[in-house]
Amino acid sequence: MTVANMNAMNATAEIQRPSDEERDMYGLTHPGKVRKDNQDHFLICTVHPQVTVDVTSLPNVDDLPLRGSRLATVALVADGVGGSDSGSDAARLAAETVARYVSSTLRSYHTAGSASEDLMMQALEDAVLQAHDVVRAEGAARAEPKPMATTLTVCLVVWPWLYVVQVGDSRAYYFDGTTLHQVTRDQTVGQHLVDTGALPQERLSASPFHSVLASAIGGPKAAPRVSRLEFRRSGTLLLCSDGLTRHVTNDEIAAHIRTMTSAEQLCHLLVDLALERGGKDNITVVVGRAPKRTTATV
Amino acid sequence: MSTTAEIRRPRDDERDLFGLTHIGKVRKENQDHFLICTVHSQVTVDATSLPNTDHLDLRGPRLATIGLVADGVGGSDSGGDASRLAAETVIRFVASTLRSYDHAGSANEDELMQSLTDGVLQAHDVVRAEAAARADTKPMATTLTLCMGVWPWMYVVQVGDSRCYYHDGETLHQVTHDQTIAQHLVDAGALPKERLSSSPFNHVLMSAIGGEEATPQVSRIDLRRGGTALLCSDGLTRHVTDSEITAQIRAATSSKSLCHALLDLALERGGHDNITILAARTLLPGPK
Repeated sequence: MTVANMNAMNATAEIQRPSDEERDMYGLTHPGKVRKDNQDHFLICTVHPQVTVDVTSLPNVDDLPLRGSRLATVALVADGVGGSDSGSDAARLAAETVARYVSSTLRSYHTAGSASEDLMMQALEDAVLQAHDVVRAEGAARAEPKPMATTLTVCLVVWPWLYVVQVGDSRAYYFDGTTLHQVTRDQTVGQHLVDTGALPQERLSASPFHSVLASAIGGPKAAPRVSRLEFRRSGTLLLCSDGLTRHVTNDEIAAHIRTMTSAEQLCHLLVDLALERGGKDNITVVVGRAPKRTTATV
Repeated sequence: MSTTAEIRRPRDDERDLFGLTHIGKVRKENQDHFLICTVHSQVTVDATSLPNTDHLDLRGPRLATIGLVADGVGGSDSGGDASRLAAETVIRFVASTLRSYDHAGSANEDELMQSLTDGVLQAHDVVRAEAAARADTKPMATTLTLCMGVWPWMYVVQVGDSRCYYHDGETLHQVTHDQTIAQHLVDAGALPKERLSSSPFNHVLMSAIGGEEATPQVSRIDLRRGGTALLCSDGLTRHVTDSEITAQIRAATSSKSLCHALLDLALERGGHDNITILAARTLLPGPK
C-alpha cells in the first residue's frame, strides 16, 4: 500500500520506527443495549526483551531501565458465540491462548518483511489454530455440550509490517491517511453467498445468513487467513466486533478517523454512535496508531 | 563429536549460576563489581477486557545469559565508581539496544559482536565523561569482561585483564588475553614468559575502560552441556594457577561451592587484591 504524492522527506518520516511512547493505542468494549452479557474480549500488548538480574554486587539495579526495545505490538478482538457463559469463555480462552503463544513461542520477529517471512505468517496461523484446539477441548470437557465458539482477529505489528490473521467476522481496517481499507473479509455464510454470486451485495445485510459464521474458533471449521500490509506513521489501525459495523458504515468510520484526536476519543465516539443506533450486540473497538509528533497546532 | 544430549539447550533451571566478590585481606575498599542476568522476552499488557492476566505466563523464553566483571582502577572511590558505571552502562545498553540475539551463530553474527563492542565503548565514554566532570582530576578506570551465552555459543568481550575461562568438561581454555603491558612484552618476545608474574608491568593495563585507550576484544566459543564458564578479577589469578582452577572445577559440586573454594584459596595465600569470581555451569541432561 503506498501513499501517493509524498515527497522524499515525508517518506522518510513516514516509515521511521515509532518509540513506545509515540504509539497511541486504546481499546473499549460495551455490552450494547440488548444483550445481557458481554461476550467480547480484546487485548493490546507489547512484546519486548527484559533483563532479569540473577545476582549482582551493584547497589541499585532497580533504577536501571531493564526493559528492552519493543519487538512487536499485538492487538486482538474475540467475539464469543453461544448462549450463557460459553461464548465469553470461548473469547477469553482464545485471547489468552494467543497471548501465551506470543510470549512463549513466537520468535521470528527478525524475519518480518524478509524472504523468510512465511515463518511469521505460519506462526500466526499456528497461534490461532492453537486457540481453536484449546476452545474445542474446553467445549468437549464441559458437562453440557453447548456450542462454544468465537471469532478471533489478531494484528501483529513488527514495524513497519502489519500482519493480520482472522477467523470469523471481527474486522480489521487500515486507514492509510487517505483511504480506508478493510483488511479482513467476513467469514460468514452471507458473505460467501455474495462472493459466489448467489446473493446480491445489496441484500447481504438483510440476509438471515449475514452473521452466521462460515469459520470460527471452536466451531466445526476454522480457516485462518493471514495478510500483510505496511504500516505508516500517518496510518491508523482499527479492529472491531460486528456490534460496531452492524450500525456504522465504512464511510462513517473513515470520516471519524480523519477527524480523530486520539485513539481513546475515536473508540468512545464509535461506541456511542453504535449505541445511539440501537446497540443490538456487544460492541468492541480497538484503535492503534503512531502519529509523528508535530510542532504545528493540533 | 558431541552427542545430541550434550548440545541440547539447557532449560533455565538447568543452569547453575553463582557470583561473589570479596575485599581481600589488604585493600581497604572493594572496587570490583559483577552482575549475572538473564535476558528473556516478555509480554506487557497495555489494555484488555480480560478479567485477570496474572495467571498467564507472560515471561517468554530466554534469549541470553550474561555475566560480567569490572575491576576498578584508581584511588579512593573513583575505581569503584568506574566499575559500577561501566557495569550499569553496558547492561543498560544490552537491555535497550541489543536486538540481534537471533543472529547468534549465523552469517549476521557480526551485528551481534559489533553491538557488544559498541556497548563496551559506550561504557568507556560514560566513565571518561564522569571523570572529566569531577572536581579532582583523579584517573578513573576499570576493566570490563562480559560473557553472553546464546546457546550453544558464548560471546566474550574484554577490555583489561579480568579473565574468562571455559572448561569444556575436559580441558580449561583461557578465552581472554590479558591486556597488560607485561603480557604485551611477552607476546612481542621482549620478556620471557616465566618472568611475567614478577614483572612490575604485570598488572599495568594497556587497555582500560576510562583509560587512555580501550580496545575491546570479542571472541566466540562453543558451549557444551557439562561445561563451566568462569569469570574473575586478577585478585584470584595472582594467587591461584590455571591448573588449580581446573582441579577445583573438576571437583566442584555447584557453582557456589566452586566460587567459595577458589575464594578461600586466594584468601589463604594473602588476598592481596579484591577478589571476584563468577561461575556458570550447565548441568548434564539428567534422566527424564
